[in-house]
Order: sequence, then C-alpha cells, then structure tokens
Amino acid sequence: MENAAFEKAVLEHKDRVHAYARMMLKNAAEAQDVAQEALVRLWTHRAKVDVEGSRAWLLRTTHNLCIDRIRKRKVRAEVADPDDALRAHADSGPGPAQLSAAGDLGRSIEKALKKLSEQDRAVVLMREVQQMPYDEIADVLGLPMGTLKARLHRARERLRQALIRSGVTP
Amino acid sequence: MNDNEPIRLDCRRARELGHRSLDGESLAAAERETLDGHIAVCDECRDMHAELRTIQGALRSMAPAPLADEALDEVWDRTVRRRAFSGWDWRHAAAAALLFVTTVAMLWTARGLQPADEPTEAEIAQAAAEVRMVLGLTGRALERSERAALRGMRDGVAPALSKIPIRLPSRVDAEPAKDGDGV
Repeated sequence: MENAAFEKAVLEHKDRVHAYARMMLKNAAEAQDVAQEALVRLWTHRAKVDVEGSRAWLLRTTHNLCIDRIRKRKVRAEVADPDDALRAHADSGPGPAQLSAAGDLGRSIEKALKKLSEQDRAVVLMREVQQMPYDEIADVLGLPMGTLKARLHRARERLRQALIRSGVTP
Repeated sequence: MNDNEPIRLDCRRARELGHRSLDGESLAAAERETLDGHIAVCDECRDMHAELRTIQGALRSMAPAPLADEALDEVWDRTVRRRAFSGWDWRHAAAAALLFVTTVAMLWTARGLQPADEPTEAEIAQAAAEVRMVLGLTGRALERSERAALRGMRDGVAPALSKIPIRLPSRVDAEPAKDGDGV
C-alpha cells in the first residue's frame, strides 16, 4: 500500500474504527487510544495489506485490541473492588446513542448493548451498525458462517429482551 | 409465551425466516408464504419480527463517532510525517545542532586568525535563519521524544519509573539540593 492509499484508507475508515472501539469499550479515552493504535499498525503492516482489504484488516485489529483491553480490565478488577473498576471505566462523554438519529430508542439500545457479552456485541456492531458483509465478519472473528449467523440471530433476540426488561418496547 | 416455555416448531421456523429476512435475504415464495401466514396468526412472532426490524433500523442510524482532529494529527505524526522527516529523531537533530555549532566555532576561529570582512546584513540574516531552522528541528524532535516517552509511561512501559515523584527546581539558578532535601 502506497502512502496515498494509506492516507485514503485512514480518512475513509477512521470514524468507523473509532465508533466500533467506542461501543465495544464504552470509554472515550480508551476508544481513541485503540483507534489510533489500529491506524498506526496499518501503517506498520502496509506492505502486507491491500487497499480493498484495509477495512476488514482495521476492524479485525481494532476488535483484537478491544478484546485485549477488556481482558486486562477483568484481570485488574479481580484484584480491585469491582465497583471501583466499573466506575473507573464509566464513560462520561457522549455515547453512540447521542450521535444517533434514533433518539430515545437509540439511548436505550446503547444501554442494552452494554448488557450483551463481548462476542454478541461484536457481531451486532459489525453486522447492524457497521453493516459489514457476513464473509468479512466471519473472517474478522474467525467463525464459520453458520455459527456467525446463529450468533447474530441470538444476539438480536438478547438485545430485544434486554430492552424489554429495561421497560422499553421497541 | 415466557422465556422458559419451549418455542413451538412453527414459531421457531418463522423466527428463522424472520432473521433471514432481516439479513436482507430474498426468501423463496413458499418461505415468504410460511412467514407471512404465521405472523398473521401469531401475535408474539409478529411483535417480535416488527420489534427486531425497529431495533435494526435504530442500530443502522447510529452515526460514526468522529475521531478527534488532534488524535488524527497524532496518527499522521506517527506514520506519514515521521517518514517525511526521514528518520530525524532527537539524535539526528542533536547531531545536526552540534555540527552547526562546531562549524560556526571553526569559522569564528578562522576569522580570528585571518583578517575577515565584516558580515553583511544579508549574511547575518541568513545565519540567523539557519540557527532558527536547526533549533526548530531540534525542538520538534525533542517534542516528539517527549510525547513518545509520555505515551510509554501511560501505557505502563516503565511502571516503576512512573511511581517515582520527580520534583523540578522552581528556578534555574536555584541552590543545589542539600543532603536530605529529597529527590
């Protein structure tokens, strides 16, 4: 990938990568760090990544960086007070729902997304928010197509259940 | 139907078709008929299908969260701009500054040995511009090094170092610390 192609890929995908990290990590500062790191890593590996594959490559890298961060949080939380850990990672900035045109439902969905497991949340974000094709998501997450579809269907229903439990009827 | 109640076979089939429809798949005529026929008589599956479609619409309307300009600027600093700088890290900049100072000193010494013409105003202006350029390169390289060091400390590269309080003197010409004054 040439310099110009790298710059084009960064400008095209930076917000997508940042939004994904933001919704996975629920923390503005960490999301910004992860987005920057993913974009810098694209530069480091530009010889091996072509322009067409840059979106999937960036989202895979972002996803892996997010999972690493979440794992580190869990390890830290094991040796600290769980309430403190939750407070430390609470996002005080505007969330995706505040950037959403969906209004109240969008805010409720943001809260409900937080109740999903990382795996379920990743599938919903990639398919429904990022609108990535199935084969690309399967590649990013390393899942067979059947497993991926079953996980998405289950995650959609869990998201709906979480909304209903919080008193929201979509 | 509550969560613990087993899902009826026709409900299960209708939900599977409903998800495929949400996925954008075009259902075969018989499958479409099965789905439509079922949700016409099953309130729960009809509500569920409609609600999942509403949720999907809301998720798709979520706008990308823009990456802050300063964060993007730092990405350029760490990638394309770093390359444009041709590897001018602080060591290169310091070496350039040293070379410049040495050259000036040699010229000064040579002029001291041989009678030399007074520099013209244009030569003085040119020399001043060259000094500014070298100092600018040095300053920029040091700024980058400082940012990299801060990033490293923030990321826990030097956990022990980050715990040591470092107090800088409030004045450049402050008295040297006496024994027992602390770090």
